[in-house]
Amino acid sequence: MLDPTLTRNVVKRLRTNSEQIRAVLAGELAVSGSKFVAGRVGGDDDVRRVLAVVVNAEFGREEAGVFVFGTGASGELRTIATIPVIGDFNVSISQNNKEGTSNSPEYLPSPTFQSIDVTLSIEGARDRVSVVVTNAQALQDFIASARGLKELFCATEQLTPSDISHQWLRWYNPSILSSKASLNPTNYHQYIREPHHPPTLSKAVHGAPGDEAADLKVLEEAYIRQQMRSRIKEYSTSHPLLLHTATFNVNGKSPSERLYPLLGTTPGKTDEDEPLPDILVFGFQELDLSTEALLYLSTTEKEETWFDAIMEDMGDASQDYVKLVSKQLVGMLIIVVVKKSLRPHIHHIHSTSSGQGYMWLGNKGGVAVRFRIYDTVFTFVNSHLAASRAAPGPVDDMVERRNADFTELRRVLKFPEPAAVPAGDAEYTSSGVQHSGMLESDYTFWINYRINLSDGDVRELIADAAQTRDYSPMFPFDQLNIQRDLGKCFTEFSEGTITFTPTYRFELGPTLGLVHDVKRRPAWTDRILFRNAESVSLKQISYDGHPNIFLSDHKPVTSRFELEALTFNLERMIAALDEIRTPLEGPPDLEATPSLVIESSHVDFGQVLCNVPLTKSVKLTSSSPAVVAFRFIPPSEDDSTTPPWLTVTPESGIILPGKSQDVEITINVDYSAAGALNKGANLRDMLVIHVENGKDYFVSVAGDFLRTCLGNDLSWLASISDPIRGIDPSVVHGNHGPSAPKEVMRLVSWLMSNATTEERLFLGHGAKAEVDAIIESLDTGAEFPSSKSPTFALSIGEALLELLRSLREPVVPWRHQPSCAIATSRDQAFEVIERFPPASTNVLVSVTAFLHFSLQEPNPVRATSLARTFGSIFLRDNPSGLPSTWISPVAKTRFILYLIS
Amino acid sequence: MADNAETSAVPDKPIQVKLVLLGEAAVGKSSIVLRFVSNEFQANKEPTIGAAFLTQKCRLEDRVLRYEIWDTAGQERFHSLAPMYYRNAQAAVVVYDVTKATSLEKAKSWVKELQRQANPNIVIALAGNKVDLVTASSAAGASGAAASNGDDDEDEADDATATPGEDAGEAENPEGLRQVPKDEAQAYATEAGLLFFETSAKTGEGIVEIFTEIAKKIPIDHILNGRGGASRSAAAGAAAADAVNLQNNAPKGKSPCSC
Repeated sequence: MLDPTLTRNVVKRLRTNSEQIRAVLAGELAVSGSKFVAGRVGGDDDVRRVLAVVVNAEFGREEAGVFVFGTGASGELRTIATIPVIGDFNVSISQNNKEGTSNSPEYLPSPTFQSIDVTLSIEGARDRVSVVVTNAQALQDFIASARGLKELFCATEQLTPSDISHQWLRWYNPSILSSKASLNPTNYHQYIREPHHPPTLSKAVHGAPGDEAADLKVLEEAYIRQQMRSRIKEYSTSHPLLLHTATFNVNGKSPSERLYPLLGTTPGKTDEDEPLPDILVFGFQELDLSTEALLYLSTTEKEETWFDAIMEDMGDASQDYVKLVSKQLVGMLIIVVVKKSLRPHIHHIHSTSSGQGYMWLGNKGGVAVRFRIYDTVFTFVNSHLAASRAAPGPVDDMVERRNADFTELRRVLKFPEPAAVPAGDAEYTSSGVQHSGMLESDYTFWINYRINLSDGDVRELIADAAQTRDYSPMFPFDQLNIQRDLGKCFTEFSEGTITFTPTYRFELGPTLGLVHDVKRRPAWTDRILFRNAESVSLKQISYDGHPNIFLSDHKPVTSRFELEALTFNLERMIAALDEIRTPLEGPPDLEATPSLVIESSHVDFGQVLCNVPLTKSVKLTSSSPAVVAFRFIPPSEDDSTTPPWLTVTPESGIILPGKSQDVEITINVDYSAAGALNKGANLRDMLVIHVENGKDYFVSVAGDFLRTCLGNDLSWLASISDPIRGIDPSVVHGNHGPSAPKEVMRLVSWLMSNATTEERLFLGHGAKAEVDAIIESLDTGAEFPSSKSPTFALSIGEALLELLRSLREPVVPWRHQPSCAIATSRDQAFEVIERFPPASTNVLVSVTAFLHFSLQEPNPVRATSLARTFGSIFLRDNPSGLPSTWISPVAKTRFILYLIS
Repeated sequence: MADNAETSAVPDKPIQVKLVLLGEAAVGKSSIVLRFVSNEFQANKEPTIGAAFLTQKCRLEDRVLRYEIWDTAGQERFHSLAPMYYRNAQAAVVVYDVTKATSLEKAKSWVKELQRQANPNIVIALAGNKVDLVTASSAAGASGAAASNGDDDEDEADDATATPGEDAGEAENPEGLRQVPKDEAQAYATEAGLLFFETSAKTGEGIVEIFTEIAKKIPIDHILNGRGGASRSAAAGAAAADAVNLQNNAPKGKSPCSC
C-alpha cells in the first residue's frame, strides 16, 4: 500500500507515464555514520528525504532505479539522485539505539510495530544515501521491492549488459534537471527536428509589422533548431543502420514458395558476403480473405505462418534475429524483425491500428508500429485503403475515398506517448494522456498505398517500358503521384523512382502470376514511401518489384535504406543549447533597439538572360547591442514578398549583436516570368526587410532583362515581325499575319537545308553553349553562329524543342487537346488541326512537314521516338488542369504519327 | 444544327471555304496569299515548309465567306503531303510562273491530280503569276527580278524568289522574258474548265479577282448543306466588317480589305 500523498508528489517528478512507482517512503537524512551522502544540498534544515523505487518498462524489460528526493517546506519534491538497481546496487538497514547503530543488515523489524527507528542505506556505484525511517510497513515493502528487482536484473544481465541498460535514468541527472532547457524524453526532439507544420510568421506588410512578439519567438525557435542541427555532431553519436522494408498483398494465399526476394537476401550468404539488414519490416495485406477473419479478430495463425516462412527462408541468419513487434488487424499485418544485438537499444515500442472498411472492422485501414532505437524515433505504417472500382474508366471515383481514408488514418493512428513537437499532430485525448501522431517521428515509412493507373493505354506503355526500363511516361497517370501533386495526400512523404512493372493485377490460374490480368487496369498498388527529419540522414539504396514471386495476384515490393540512429549526450546537448540560447535571452542594455546596417541598398544585376540565374549577396550586420530578428515582408498589401523571378535566402533569421548574415538575392527569370517581361514589364523590385521591434529597411533590385523568344504566347510571338530584342514593347505591333513565328521558321528552314538526314536530330543532345547561342541569334536576328561542330544540327533541333517547350500554352492549346485524342486517322488529324488558332496550325504543319520529309526512308522506331518527343511538347499537359482531362502519352504519340508519316 | 432557314436569315454568318494553293516551287504562291490576306509583298521570302494556313474573310453580295487557305510548299519533297491539304477543299488556285514554261507543265499535272482525287465539285483557278516581270512599266522599275532560272530540280529551288539574272538588258525587252503565252494558258484553262488569270503578287494585279471569281463560282448552297459549313460558321463568329468586299474591288496596290 503506497502512501497516496507521497506517491502523488513523486509522480509529479517523473518524466513519462511509462515509469511506475513500486515503493515509496519518507525519512530524515542520517547524518552520523555516513561515509558519503548523496546530494548534500541545502542548509541544515533540509534533511527530509523521500525515496522511491521506480520501474521503467519502455525498453521491453523492467529496469528499476531508486530515486532520492529532497523536500522543501512546500512539500514539493526535488530530485537529488538516482541509483540504478543493477549489480552493484545494495540495500541494507540497521536498527538505531542509544548506543549507536547496530550492524545487522538482515534484521527486519516486525511489521506489527507501527513505529520504528531504523536507518536504511542504499548504495550504488556513484551515490549512497542513508535515511532514518519510522514506517515499518513502508520500509518492508521498499526493501522487498528493491531486492526483488535487483535479483531480476542479475538473472537477466546476460540479455541486457549493464552498460546499455538504464538509459532512461540519464534524464534525471541533476545537471539535466537543473538546466533552463528542461529537456525530457518526450520534448528534446523539438530543439532539433522541424515540426511538420512549422509555426508561421504573422501576416505583415510594410507599415503593418504584424504580431512582432509572436514572430520573434517563432524566429528564435527556428534559429535554435537550425543552430542545434548544425552542431549535432558535438552532442550525438551516430549508429548506422540498414533497413529492409517489404510490402506484399498476398491475396489470402499461404507462403507456398520461397521468399528470398522479399527478404532481399541470397540463400547461403552471410553478413560478410553482403551486409544483412539491422531491421526488417514486413507489411502484409489480405492475409485472410475469409469472412471468419472479420469476425474472429484475435487469430494470429496467419501471422505465425508468414513469420515462420520468413525466418525459415533467412536460413542460418535467422538465429541472429528476433521479432521486435507485430500488429495485425484482420488481413493487415506489420512485423518488425531486428538483429538480436540491436534489440537492447530499442525502447518505447508501441503499436496501433485502425479499421476503415466495411463497418470499421478492418478489412481496410492501417496498422502501425513505433519504436526508438537509441534516441531516434522510427514509425512504420502498413495500410490497405479502399480498392478501385472494378470497371475501367478514365476517372476513378475511389480516389477521393482513398484520400479521405488516408487523412483519417493519419488522424487516428496515434501512439500513446506525448508528442515531441506540440505544434504537430499531437492531441490530448479525453483521458488527458497526450498522444502523438505518426509524423512526430524521425523516420516514417508508409507502405502500400492502394492505387490504380487511370489510363487505358497503360498496357502499351508497360510493353514499351519493359524494353527501356523507363516507366516515367506512366508516372503522370499514377493516381498516387497525381494526388500527391495536388497536395491531397502523402505530401510529407517521398518516394523513390519506380523502375519496376506495375505490381497489380496478375492472372491467377494456369498463367499464375505471369501476366497482367486482362480485366483490371495494371497499377502500382504496392508502394513504399518515406520521410525523415532534417536531423537524421536517409539514403534509399533500392526500390524493387519482385515479379518472380507468383503466389499472389500482386507482386511484392521491397526497398532498402541506409539510416542512422543517434545517441544524445545530454550534458553536451544541454551545453550546446545553453550556448545557443543565452545570447537570445535579452539584450544586456534593455534600452537598445535592434538595428541593421545593410551593406548596399541597391543591387544591380546588369544584363539578365532568361533561365540564367544570377545571385548576389547582401551583408546584413546587427549594429546595436540587441538581437536582430529580421524577415522580408511585402512592400504593400497587394504584393508578394518577392516577385516570381526573385528569391531571397534566408527569408528570415536571427543576427546576434555585432554579427553579420549574408542574404543571397537570386534573379531567375524562368519561362513563366519571361512572358510579361518580354512584353515590356520592368525587371526591378523593392525588397523590404523588417526588423522585429525595429525599423523597415529597403533594398532595391534591378536588372536589364534581355527579351527573348522563350516563354511567350505563340500568337503574340507570331505577330512580331522583327527580332524580339529590338522591338519597343511599348509600341503596339502590327499584326504580321497568322503564320508561324519567324523563329520557328528560321530553325525549321535551317534544318530543311542542312539536317534532313541527321538520324539523331531531336533525339540526341546538342551542346548547351550552342543552343544558347542559337536562341540568342533568334532574339537578336543575327546569323546563326557558324559552327562546323558535329553537334550543331542537334543543337538547332534542341533550340527548336526548347522554344516550343517554353511557350506559355503548348502549340496545341489546352482546349483543343481533347479533339486530338479522338482522331483515328490522318484525315481526322488534319481536320482537327484546321480548327486550331492559325499560328498553332502553322507551327504544327511546318514542323511535322519537316519530320515527314526527314522520315522518307521508313523507320518506324525513329518515327515513334520523334512522335513521342513532339507529342509531349505539342500537347503538353495543363499543370493547373484536372489530371483526368490529360491525354495519354500514347494518344499524343499516335496523333503526331498521323501528321508525320 | 443550323438549317437553311437560319442561314438565309442571318446572311452575315461567314461561309467557310477551304482553298488550297498548288504549284511548282518559287512561282509565288505564298506571295499571292500574302497579298490577298495582308495586302503586302515581301521580296526574298523563305520557301514554305509543308504548308501555311491562313484565313481571310470576304464579302460577296449579301454573304460573308471565310477563306481557309492552305498555302502548300511547292517543293517536290512535300508532294506526298499535298493530299492532306487539298482534302475536302472547295477551291484550288494552281499557280505557274509566266517566265518559266516548265511551271505550267507542273500546274497541269496538279490540275490533273485535283480532278482525279480531290472533291469532285472543286473550283479550280489557274493563275499565271509574276506578270509584272513581262510588262514594261514594272520591269523597268526596281523589281530586279528576271526570267526563270529554268532549273528543273525543284528541291534546289529553296529560295521562293529564285528568279536570278538581274540583267539590265532584259529590262528593256520585258516581253522577252515571257515563256508562257497568255493565249496558250487561256486555251488550256478553257479546255480543262478552269478559271484563268494572269497575276502579279508584287503589284497586286489580278489577285483579288481570283478570289472574287472563285467565290462567285462556289456552289454555296452545296457548302451550307454539306460539309458542316453552317455549324462551323456559327463557331467562327461573324465579323463582316473585316471582310474583303469582293463586289467592290479596291484599286490595285491598295488593301483589298474593306476595313
